Amino acid sequence: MELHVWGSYKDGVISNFDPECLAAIYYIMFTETDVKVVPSSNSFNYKLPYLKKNDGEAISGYESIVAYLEKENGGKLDNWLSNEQFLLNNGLKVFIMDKIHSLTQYVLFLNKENYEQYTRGLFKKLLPFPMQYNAPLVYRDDAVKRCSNVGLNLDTGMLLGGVGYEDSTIEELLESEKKLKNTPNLTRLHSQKQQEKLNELLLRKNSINNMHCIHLAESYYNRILEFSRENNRNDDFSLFIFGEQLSSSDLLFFAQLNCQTLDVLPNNFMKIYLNFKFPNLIAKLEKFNNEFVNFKNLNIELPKDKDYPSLFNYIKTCL
Amino acid sequence: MASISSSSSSSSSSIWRVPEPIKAVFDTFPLKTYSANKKSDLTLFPQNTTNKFELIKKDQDQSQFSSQGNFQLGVYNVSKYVKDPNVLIPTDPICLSTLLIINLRNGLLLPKVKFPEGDNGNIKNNNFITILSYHASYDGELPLLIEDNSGKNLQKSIKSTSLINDLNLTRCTDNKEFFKCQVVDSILYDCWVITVLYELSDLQKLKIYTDLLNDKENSMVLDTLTLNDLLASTLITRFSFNIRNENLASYWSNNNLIKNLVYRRSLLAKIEMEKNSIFRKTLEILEIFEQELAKSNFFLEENNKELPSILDCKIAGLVYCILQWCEGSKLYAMINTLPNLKSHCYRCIDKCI
Repeated sequence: MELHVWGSYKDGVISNFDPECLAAIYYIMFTETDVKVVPSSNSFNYKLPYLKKNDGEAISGYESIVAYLEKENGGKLDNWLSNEQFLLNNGLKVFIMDKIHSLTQYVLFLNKENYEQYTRGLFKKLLPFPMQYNAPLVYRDDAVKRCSNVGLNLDTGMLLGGVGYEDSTIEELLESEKKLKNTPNLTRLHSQKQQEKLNELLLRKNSINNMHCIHLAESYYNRILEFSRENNRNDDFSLFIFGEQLSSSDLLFFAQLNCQTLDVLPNNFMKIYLNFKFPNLIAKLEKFNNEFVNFKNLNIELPKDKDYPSLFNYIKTCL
Repeated sequence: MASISSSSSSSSSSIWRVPEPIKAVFDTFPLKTYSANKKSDLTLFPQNTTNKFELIKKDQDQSQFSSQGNFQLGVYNVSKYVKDPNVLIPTDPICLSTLLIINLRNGLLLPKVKFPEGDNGNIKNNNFITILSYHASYDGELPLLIEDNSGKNLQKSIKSTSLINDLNLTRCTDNKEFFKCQVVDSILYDCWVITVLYELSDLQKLKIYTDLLNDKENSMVLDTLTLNDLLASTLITRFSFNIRNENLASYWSNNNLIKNLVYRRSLLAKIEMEKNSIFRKTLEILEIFEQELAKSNFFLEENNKELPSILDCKIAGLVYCILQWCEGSKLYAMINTLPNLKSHCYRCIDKCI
């Protein structure tokens, strides 16, 4: 079986911006399942990560991959959960994919600095010409959709319900931006001034969004940490949400955290905030990374010709 | 002169006159002659029609929280309650569970078809459920809560489906209930959506999501046209179904026609996979809920209040709608083998009667 993830098709380095891919790799590391990891970056037919079974059939998405492998393995990861915990584990995974994933998407794709200086450029290394242009846009579209669902997009989500903001400063901001854009330019000096004002507005908009993101993060992480504390008899330092052992939602949670706090990000507001507000969480993350994450033991294989993310293969999938 | 003018008039009439056989044909067509609309224009507005149903207080003193303002809950449609034809119940599971939660919180009863004479006069309550078109909400999603806090300043606030749900979830008693509610709102709701999309007839879909059928003069052609738009704009996006199930959503949404044609073959296979995985998860989850109910009447018995919680209302709403509308479907067959869930849903609804 092959697990296809985002990564460099040339030298086989796995990239770490997609939490679902990371979580699927963690699963294979932890359970030592006999699966080849192929950093093909080929998301033409199936969304990454996907598991290619020996009969050629593919299963896409962390949730489905884990469900399938657990059945094959006889439940190496989640078997110890009681019925109620199984239910809660499912709810937790939904919560992580719904809410915390949109924070990750915000940090990587909607935050202007991070997107323009880091994430967009990343695809250049992952995909050959001319495929690298479309992929980040698709991801960004998805990110916009997700984020406006939790009210994390100033232009659409926040004003139109979702969170139900009735903040006058935001309305003023949008109003003045609209006005500026609609004023015709008289001279070059005038247009220069206008551009300056627009940039300032954009900066303010960005900082409001970042603050809103942090506000959401606080409520989401508080809920998960509180839940974990309840399950661990008020122990703040236990690594696992359900006490005792790892579960599939733990893997997903740590993968999301790893993606949000990448050291290479130019604007690492999330990591700074988490360090300040939830030092225990960062300590847990480091402990998890030290104890469980080891890319050396993985069976990494470069993609074959038919999995190569080229334009030719893309056209073949359309036919 | 006279002869010339008469000849010219006769020639013009012979040119412009419609020949008899053609006239006969056009006299018999059009097939239907519409009579004048006798209804007054006021019926266009919900105030005067049967679109509005009053929610009366169970008992003035017992209510947990006194609702000072008035509210209206917009739903797709209502139907008669199976066990009591005098009681009306929303047809959509989310609308139903939202109404149950609001009613239990405010000590209100489900609306009745006709109130007994005496009751109506004494306690004048201004809380209603209203049948709305899905166009009434900006994102096409119902239920919609219109609150009228007409105490000091006349201000109406309109709450969208997702906001209502977020507020309801903040009232969960503990994190366990919260995460179980997440399961109901995602996996079980997804299963309801694919059952509606794939296993219900158009007529049933119309019954659940519009009140057009109540108006018999409307033509069916228009209804089915509405239906597709409705499914695309309301069912697919509610509770982020489109984010969890990308392929299903892209197939059913309106603006991906070309993409759907190009990828049709592989898309259908992927949709099949998504559907199977939803059904597999639903079955596992329903069975666990069934086991939990074997011990007690409601999911959170610790309260000892004998009152359904948010989780109870969510599950009851869904189970009731499956039992009422989805007969013959895969999901109905699943529920039918789970007696505790079945009796639990009636138990919850009966608390509001």
